Amino acid sequence: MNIGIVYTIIRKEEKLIIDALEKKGHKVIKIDDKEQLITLSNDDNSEEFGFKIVLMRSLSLQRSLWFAKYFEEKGIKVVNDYETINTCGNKYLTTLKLINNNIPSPKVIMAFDNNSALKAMEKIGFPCVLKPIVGSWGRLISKVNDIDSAQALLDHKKAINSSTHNVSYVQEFIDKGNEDIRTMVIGNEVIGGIKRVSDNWKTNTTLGAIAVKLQMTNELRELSLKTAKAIGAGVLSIDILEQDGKYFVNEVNATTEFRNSLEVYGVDIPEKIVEYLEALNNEEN
Amino acid sequence: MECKTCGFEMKLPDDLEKNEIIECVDCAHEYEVDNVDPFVLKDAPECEEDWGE
Repeated sequence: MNIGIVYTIIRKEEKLIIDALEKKGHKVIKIDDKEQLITLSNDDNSEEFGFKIVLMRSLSLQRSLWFAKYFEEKGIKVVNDYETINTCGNKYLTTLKLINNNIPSPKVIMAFDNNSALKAMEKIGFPCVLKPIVGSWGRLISKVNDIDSAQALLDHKKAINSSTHNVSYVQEFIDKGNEDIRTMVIGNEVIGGIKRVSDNWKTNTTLGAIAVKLQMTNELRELSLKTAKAIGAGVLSIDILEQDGKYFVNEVNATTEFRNSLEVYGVDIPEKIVEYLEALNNEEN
Repeated sequence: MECKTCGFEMKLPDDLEKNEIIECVDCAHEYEVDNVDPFVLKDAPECEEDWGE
């Protein structure tokens, strides 16, 4: 099959997926999201890309959305699709989906100016977690221990002067220790999971957390599948917090990374992604 | 190719492609392949606000 891959840069993940596709004889058409144009015109003679499926690996949330919508409008299947990317890329939308599907997740209060954000934090209780609604890799996520640090953080957010940062996503602090759980779901299959262990409360591997083996349980498997079903089919990684034996789904990622944890998963993730794309391609034909 | 940051002699794989990210194993400076033929490296891009998973 011919398959498009939208990318920003080619990291180990994209390289492995491209290699896995090419090893199986598939033709990969690479689309650089910085160079590719989107022409919108009634006179447009519908650009032909030569593929029916495109894998979205753009690092940019905005460009992922624009390209996903564009390809979907052209009848091309996008993995993950626009709605899924949009939901995963916005913590507010993710939380709405989770609670509407009775999936346990930390309590959240949204606030839209500094005074109401302070009230939200007092209502949730300290410590709490302040997050940008859009963002990844733990950027600008803060554990807020008291009202003084809350005030300082909100002042700094205001100084950024961005419409995104004028919104406060205040989340209940889950006392998970310095670790969390990440599971990966591809289509209807939970392909595995890892624990991410850090030397502080943030557990992003991009910030130095280490992936260690996870004992996958039926409970985690069912929670992961239920979450994936609620968010959207595709290739998803699900971040789960554990407190006193109870699980909370924290976030869901639509452009999953695995270069720091491939061996710990113990699963050939690029191959699993290729198999999923092949199955979709067969459905399309 | 010599790392411009630390001077380490980097051994580059043969199958590098445009936009691929490579890292100096000595100092962790990241480069992006800007062109394959002729081979040109540039600094890897800075992380943008909406980049992530």
